[in-house]
Amino acid sequence: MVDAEITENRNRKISLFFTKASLLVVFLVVSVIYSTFIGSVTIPVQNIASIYLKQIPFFGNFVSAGYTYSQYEIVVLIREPEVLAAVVVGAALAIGGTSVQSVFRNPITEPYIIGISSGATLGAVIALATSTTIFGAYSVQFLSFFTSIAVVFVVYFLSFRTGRVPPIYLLLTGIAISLFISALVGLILFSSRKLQNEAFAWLLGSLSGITWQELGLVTLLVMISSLILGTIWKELDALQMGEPHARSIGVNVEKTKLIALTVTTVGVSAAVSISGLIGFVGLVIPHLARIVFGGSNRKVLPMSALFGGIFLLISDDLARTLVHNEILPVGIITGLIGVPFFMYMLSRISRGNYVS
Amino acid sequence: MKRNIQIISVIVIVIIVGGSAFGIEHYLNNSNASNSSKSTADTLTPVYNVNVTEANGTVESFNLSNVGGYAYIPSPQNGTWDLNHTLSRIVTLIPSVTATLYALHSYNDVIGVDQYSVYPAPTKNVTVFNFEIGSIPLESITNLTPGVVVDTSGTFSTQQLNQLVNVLHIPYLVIDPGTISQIENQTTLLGYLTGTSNNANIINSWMNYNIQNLSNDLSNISSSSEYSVFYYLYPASDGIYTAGPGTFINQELKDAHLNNIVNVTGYPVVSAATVANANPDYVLLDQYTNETTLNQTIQGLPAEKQNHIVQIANDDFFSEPNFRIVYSMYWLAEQFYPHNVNLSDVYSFNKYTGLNLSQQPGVGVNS
Repeated sequence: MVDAEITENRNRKISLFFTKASLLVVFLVVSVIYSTFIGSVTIPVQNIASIYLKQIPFFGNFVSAGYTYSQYEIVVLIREPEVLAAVVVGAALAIGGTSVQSVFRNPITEPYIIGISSGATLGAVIALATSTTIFGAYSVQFLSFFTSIAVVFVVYFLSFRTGRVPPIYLLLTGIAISLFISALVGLILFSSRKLQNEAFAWLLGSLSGITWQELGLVTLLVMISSLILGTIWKELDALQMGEPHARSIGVNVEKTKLIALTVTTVGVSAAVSISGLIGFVGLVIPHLARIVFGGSNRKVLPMSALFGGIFLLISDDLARTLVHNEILPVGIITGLIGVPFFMYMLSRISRGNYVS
Repeated sequence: MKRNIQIISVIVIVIIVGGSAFGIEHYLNNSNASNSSKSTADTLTPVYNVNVTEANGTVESFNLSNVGGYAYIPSPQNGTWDLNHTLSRIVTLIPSVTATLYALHSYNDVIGVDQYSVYPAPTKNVTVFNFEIGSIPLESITNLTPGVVVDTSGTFSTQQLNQLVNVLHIPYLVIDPGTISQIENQTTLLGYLTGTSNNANIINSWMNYNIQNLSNDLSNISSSSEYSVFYYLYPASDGIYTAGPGTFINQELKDAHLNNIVNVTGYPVVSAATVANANPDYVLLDQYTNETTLNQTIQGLPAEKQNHIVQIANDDFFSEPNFRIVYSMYWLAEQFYPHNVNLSDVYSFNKYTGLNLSQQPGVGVNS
């Protein structure tokens, strides 16, 4: 009788999880499709539908083109990569946030805390200041990716204490190095007022101008890093309970932290390299996933990705449509939405209704 | 130590894998570019030479450095932009270029302008881009199917430029003249690009004729009796923005026989103390700078106490680098040397050039 109740209860929970997850997936798919229909240029719905059908291999040959070439370019070359980039970048930031919060056992950390953002900014500003074309049109993206990883490496290396990397040292070193690099960035920017304008757009985050080429590569890196994080969800759960607990159940704490931070850095750095700095997704979304799906990373990691993708997609839609014929930096929108939500969440934490 | 080596190895591998992936992508794109003229070129290298084949078969060559500019073009070959036709369907995000195209009788080729392009007043067929607080959506530009986007740098991010040029295959031309001779070059270049070279020559001739006349009118003013001025553009957190040597504004002042107290080139920020030390006879205030926002040190200057503050009446003439700065020079000279120069001394544009612009280029200079 008790076994049956337990089984029934478990089945009900699984069913509820799949229902919620399915709803999220459906909402994401609908949001993606809807997002390609909106923009500063109004394109008839049937034309966008034709453009969609035209892109299907083989089948597309039988679809008559009732649209103009510029409409095709707008949908396929501008809107589609931007919309999908919102999903990928949002997912990467949210998964990164989940990972970092588990490693640090700290609900107010995010991937940027370990030096990803300052490193990426330094790389982008150097690329802009030197006008380097070492990697063609993608030099800014490449350098921000490269320096971001390098800075996290320095932070990690400097945090070493007798063969261990205590989270508190990692956190403080991350903050200190980030401040140091911010000063360097400030110095570079101060030298050129023209550069300030260019860097400003990057610092506020934007998904405008993302191409299929860079999106493909970033998606690959984000997928690999996310899958690796997914395979160590148990270890992350254990770390969330504290390092002594994790050790007591046989988790190799240092190895888990190294893997988690390395793949998080790769995934988030890749995302940030094409989007610039987008705040609050990595901080807020993991908490949202925990509120809805509970505390285990088995659910929180994939669900954070869905929530992150949806959140950034909606933010980007707002950034593209709030002001007619203008694009606002998406980082502003995420901040405007993220802060009130974060404050609400903090109030819930203080009332004891939610524990990360 | 062993652990450190392991960590370093892991991170180096990650960097190499990530870097290689970017590199492979870069390589593949370049390979594609060489195989197809319509594929992604994957570079944003500025091009400085442009060759335009005019309708009569004449090839006009121009170095874009002569207008302080450059171009990004799809699939650049040997650093030269070869145009086997004159440009049409122009999106211009620079008011000075818009005005020049109108004067050249090429305004029919303009399909989009920025919100500051108020001369000439945009027609119904021209899309006006307002981008006060954000950037222009590329899809709005793509929708116009432009032949070129003319701009000063800074409107688009590098990522947007890459998409504009390499993905959407729209040439991007930057023009940023810094001197009066570069303003004339700008007119010449736009004449080449739109097949109106003769009109460009006439406009430049009109400019030179009037500048020479102004010089003659002011010839009896010796350098020792010239007024010294400080141009107050707008306040910055660490001083005041102004214009120094190497700018067309400085040249406007010079041609109006005014002595700019600033000797730092370009558009520097100078401290209020520097201005106080130079003690200018007059403060020349930008049209959009409110006198009440003047820095306190400036407010204490003898020039301020004597009410020697002259506010630019119409910034469109004074700070837009095109042929209309002639009116601005005369306006300035009239303010300081009214016995020598009158604004009405500017020789009529329509009469001199025969271009018969329906919207007179000098209207509004003193209002």
